Amino acid sequence: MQTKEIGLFTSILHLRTGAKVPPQREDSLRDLALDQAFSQMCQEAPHAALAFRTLLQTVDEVQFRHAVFRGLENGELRAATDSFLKGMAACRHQDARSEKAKHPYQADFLHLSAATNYVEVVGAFQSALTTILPALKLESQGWTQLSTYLAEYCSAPAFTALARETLEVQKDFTDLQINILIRGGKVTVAQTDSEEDLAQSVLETFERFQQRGATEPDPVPSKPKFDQVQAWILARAALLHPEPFARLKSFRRATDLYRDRVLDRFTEEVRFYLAYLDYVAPLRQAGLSLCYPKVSADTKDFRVSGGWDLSLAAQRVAGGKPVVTNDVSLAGDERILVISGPNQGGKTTAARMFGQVHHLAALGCPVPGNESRVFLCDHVFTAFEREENLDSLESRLSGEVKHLHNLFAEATSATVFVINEPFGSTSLHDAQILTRDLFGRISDLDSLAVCVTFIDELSRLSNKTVSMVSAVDPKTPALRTFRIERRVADGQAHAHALAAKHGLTFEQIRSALKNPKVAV
Amino acid sequence: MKVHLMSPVDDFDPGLSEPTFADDLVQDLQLDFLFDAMADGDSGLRSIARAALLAPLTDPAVIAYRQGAYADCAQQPHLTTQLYALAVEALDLKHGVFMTPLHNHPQLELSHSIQLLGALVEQLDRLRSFCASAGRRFESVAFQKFFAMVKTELDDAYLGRLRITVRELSFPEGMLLSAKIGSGGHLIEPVLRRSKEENRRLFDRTPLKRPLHNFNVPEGDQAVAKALSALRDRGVQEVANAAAQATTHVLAFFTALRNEVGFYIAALNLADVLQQIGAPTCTPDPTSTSSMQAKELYDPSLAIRLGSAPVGNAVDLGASRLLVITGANRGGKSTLLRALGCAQLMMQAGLPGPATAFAASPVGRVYTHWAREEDRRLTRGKLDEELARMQLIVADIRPNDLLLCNESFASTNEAEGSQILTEVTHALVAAGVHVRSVTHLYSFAQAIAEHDSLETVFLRASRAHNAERPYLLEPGLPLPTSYGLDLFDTLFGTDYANAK
Repeated sequence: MQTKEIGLFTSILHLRTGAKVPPQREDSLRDLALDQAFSQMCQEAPHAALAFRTLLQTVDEVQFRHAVFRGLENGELRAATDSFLKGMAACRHQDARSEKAKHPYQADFLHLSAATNYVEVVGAFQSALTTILPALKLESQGWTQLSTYLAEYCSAPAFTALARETLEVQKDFTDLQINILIRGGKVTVAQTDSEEDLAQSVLETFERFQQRGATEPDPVPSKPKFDQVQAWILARAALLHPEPFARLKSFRRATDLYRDRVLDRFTEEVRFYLAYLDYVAPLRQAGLSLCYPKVSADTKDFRVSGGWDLSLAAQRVAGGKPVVTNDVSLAGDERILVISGPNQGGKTTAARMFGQVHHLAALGCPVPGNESRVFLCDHVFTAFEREENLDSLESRLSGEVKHLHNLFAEATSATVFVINEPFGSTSLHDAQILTRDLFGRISDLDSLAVCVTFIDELSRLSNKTVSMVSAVDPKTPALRTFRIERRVADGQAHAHALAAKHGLTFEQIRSALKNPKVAV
Repeated sequence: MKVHLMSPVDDFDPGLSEPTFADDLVQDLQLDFLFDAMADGDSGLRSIARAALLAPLTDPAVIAYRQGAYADCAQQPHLTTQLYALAVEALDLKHGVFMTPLHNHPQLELSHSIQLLGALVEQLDRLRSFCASAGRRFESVAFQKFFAMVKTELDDAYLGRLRITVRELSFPEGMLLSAKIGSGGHLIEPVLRRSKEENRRLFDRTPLKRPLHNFNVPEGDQAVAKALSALRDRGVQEVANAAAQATTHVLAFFTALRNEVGFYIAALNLADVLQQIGAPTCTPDPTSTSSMQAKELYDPSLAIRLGSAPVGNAVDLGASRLLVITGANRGGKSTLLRALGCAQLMMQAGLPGPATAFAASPVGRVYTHWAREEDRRLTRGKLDEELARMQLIVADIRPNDLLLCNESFASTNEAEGSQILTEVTHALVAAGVHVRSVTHLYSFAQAIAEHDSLETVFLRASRAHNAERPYLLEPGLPLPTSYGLDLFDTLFGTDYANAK
């Protein structure tokens, strides 16, 4: 039973079907630590793997997804969707069992069951949507179109016929009863003849022996598996009552392809949203915020307040540890964030966060932070130190340069760069020159970038560069705060604190030498 | 189906856990002799006797109920024995059948239950016949009720139904189930059916509506055999449960019958023993408002031990809750104390009393605080031990319970012992506990006598004893002496003994 595609709705992921967009590079996702997050999400949503890797092209597509997300953040709509998915999965499961069925009639019954389930589940979802959506006052084209599609689908003759026929065939069997006489290994099947209920009669006889507080009767075992004996009995039941069984068979033939393709696709695609929401749910529970960013294709202004790294937060929340948030912004002509400061101070994390927010925003997802404004980029390219390369320094450098060359071949002005500690395998002098060149190219493209480097004078290169420094707590300079602040890079501060801790500041050494130890 | 021969509403459970201090009570009152006499060699009867004596009845109406039943049994000892035997036979039946729980094998469970139930039904029939013929010989409310119950619950029609049911559930001609077909093609809602005889045909006797469709489960095919067995299990699940419960209930009924009739058998055994040694018994009066009144009261354990009727004493406590017994050693004080305890327990078990007349108001529980004979040699820590025991008793005891003290706190000097015993006794009696105390502590006795509010009754071992009545006690305030003064007087010709 084919259903032609009714109405506008085709996909819950896309506003319009457009040109195929290539997915993001795997190495970028790895560097941004998004690959771990996505692979966890894709465990419940294998078909969504591609969707997580493909950036949206226009702002209206982003807003389309925001609206769908907002809908699913409502408890009732979420519950209705979950039930629909569960029901559809059960149907698919029964269809699979029906295919594998060994005994005659078993496949037919399973098919009937699957079809009955399908009718019920689709009907339930349709009425749930018509009840819930108007009350939500959500402006979501995705949900509205789906609801319209479903309403038309359910009232279309094909579906109503399916619903009617499943009921009729079911009804044939609801009252169908047969007699089974078991004498040793001989089984006789016959029609019933209103025989008396022996069990009832026995129970009445024994009633005066009922004890108060007797042990509970054993729980009735759950539905037993279908087996050969039941199959043989069923075959003979078919001989006794040929019509219902014949109707069952012809129902199966007629309704072999009963499922609607559009709805099937919905069940796969909607998992993209559910997987993401489920992933961030424990993080929200731990007090972290996510927000729907204001996405623009025109301005490259960037802002995240209270931002955090998705994968790192997932790890830390699982371990019961706190997560530090940061504010980052670029405005006007600013394009390149230069992050410097002491090691392990949270610089790379901040750089990742910058890349993650751009990627996630371009997927139409809510992003980590209280408030955000993001440019809709076309790529997020990363250049991180390749630790797995145990080759000589020379080949490390050449690998890095080749990689950068490839990136720049494809980069556009809408590309975002995330560069972590470039040119670490060459001398400071060379690194300064090469990094300056890199910055020049990025500037020429007018691309957005974040670069983590110890060469802090690069932060003063032009009006496009902005310096951020990983901060230290003035009272305990040796302690990391994992906060980065917008300020002038001063590579000296932390080193001084470290020296003081070991008695190696200028004053400490002077005092020490002034009072020489008494020779023992 | 309830037995209710020992109480109109409660079931008697010999397996109930004993009260705390039960062992002390048994030891101090030497109840083992009593139990042995009641058991007459049967360990089951011994347990019943012990359980009944250690669970005293507090409602005079229930005591009277039991006394009535006992009177019947005493009139008809042979019938009582027959009834007991019927119950024991029924319980023996279960040894023939393998009875471990078989919850996951309904067919097996059913077949075992049915086997046992079949035999039990015949036993129920014998019980019914017995009750029909013996009924008019029993007059007590208890037995009348029991016979009426048997007549109603086990009438001909019902026993007939039981027999038919047992037969049907062994499926002599196969198991008939009806079933429906569920989603997935499974058989669902299996219902056990009774086939219709009229569907049998001349040559093929299968009692089902034609046409028939058969198949045979191939021999040796384990998987298919298992599937068929699983179907049968589903069919009998419900009835297997019901049959097992029914069997358990009938067995429980016979067990209760055995226990309760057993109690009366044990009581009859005791009456026999006492009669043989010439010791008198009476039917105690539990409705008395007096704490206790008795004539010729004796210690039944001592009687059984000696094999002869001991001296009896008269006691009248009026409304008093406190009795203090003083006087010479070996004067029969402990014996009287035991007699008081035993008589109370026996009355409250519904047994005949060890006296020619006995009337008392029922108490809650009976506690004992005895000086342990064998401990007398060890003086160190003995007071601690006594105090600790008393502490435990005080923590448990309630108003209207009875405490029997025998030489409590004699392990320390008289001044200290008296002080402790006075306080404890005063406090308990004022709180509503009945106390009977045998003591040497003269200061205690004096102090108690000075508390009019306690309305104490004093008995002392008589000095006017003679060969005929060596253990006579008479009412009287305590004397500060025992026989020390008498002895002196005898040798020195003085008269100090009579001076006080």
